[in-house]
Amino acid sequence: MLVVVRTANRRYAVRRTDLLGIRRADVARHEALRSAQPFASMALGALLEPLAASEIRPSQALLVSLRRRTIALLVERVEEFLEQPHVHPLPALLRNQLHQEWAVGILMHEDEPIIVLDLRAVARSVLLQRAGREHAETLVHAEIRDNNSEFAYAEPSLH
Amino acid sequence: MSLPLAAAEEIQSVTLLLLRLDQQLYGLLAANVREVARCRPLTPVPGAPAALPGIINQRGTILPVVDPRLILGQPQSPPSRASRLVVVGCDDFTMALLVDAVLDLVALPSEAIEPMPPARDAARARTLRGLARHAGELVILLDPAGLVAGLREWS
Repeated sequence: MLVVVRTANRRYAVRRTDLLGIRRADVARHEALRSAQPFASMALGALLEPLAASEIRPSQALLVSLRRRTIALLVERVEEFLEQPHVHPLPALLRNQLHQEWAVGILMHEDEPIIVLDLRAVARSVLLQRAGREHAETLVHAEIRDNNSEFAYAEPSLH
Repeated sequence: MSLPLAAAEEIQSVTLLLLRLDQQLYGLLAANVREVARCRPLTPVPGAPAALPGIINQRGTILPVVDPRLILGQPQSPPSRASRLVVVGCDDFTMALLVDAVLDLVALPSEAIEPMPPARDAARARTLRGLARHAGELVILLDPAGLVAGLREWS
């Protein structure tokens, strides 16, 4: 089964089997606060269409469970559930050039091609981004600490 | 024995689809061209390089759209009303090339096609098949297989 969702700018399809659940974004946040499980969230549109900024606040959360964490990918709305969709493979020329293997096929729906996402791969990217940012912040803090200690060491010789 | 007129013409002339990319005139062998379509909104594929700006549904077939400008080292430009999608088939793939304009279909004598002069940029040279002149303007012949190879290197 495929679930058709809409970000601020586009429609995507995701496999129902990739999802732990679908919640309202505020409910997902509330549930995460009550449980002890690590939680991360990100707007799907901001990740997939970084150049198409949107003012619309996503209201639905697609929950993916990964490495004992719950990742909430936020979308504007969930539009449809399709029982037996016909999914086309990605053209080979395109498949071989992807920097991120987020797209796994193409759903033809109402004469419109809709990209079918591997939401677990998308969630992995969110976790990697977070881990990268935390690592970068650790490095920046370490550098500030080193610079401060260097300054503290150099200070006496200035007087 | 002389060849029938049609066969002689076939051997002696090359039919090219003339198109424009960033003010430069290019040619594609008509034999590689399946059809020309008006440009329409593309469906972008997340994670794809900028030279592959999306896909289209062309009569039930999903085609990748290739922006040759980037592979040829030209600046990217948004499509205009004159922009066209040229569906090209070559070897075992079919793709739609996003071009600024399609001008004409012309037959040139085979001997009017000259080989490309040696280029410093070997990767870019592979995307080009030869040079010709038409109505006083230089025409650069694009090689679709070379464009695909160029796309792989560019990505």
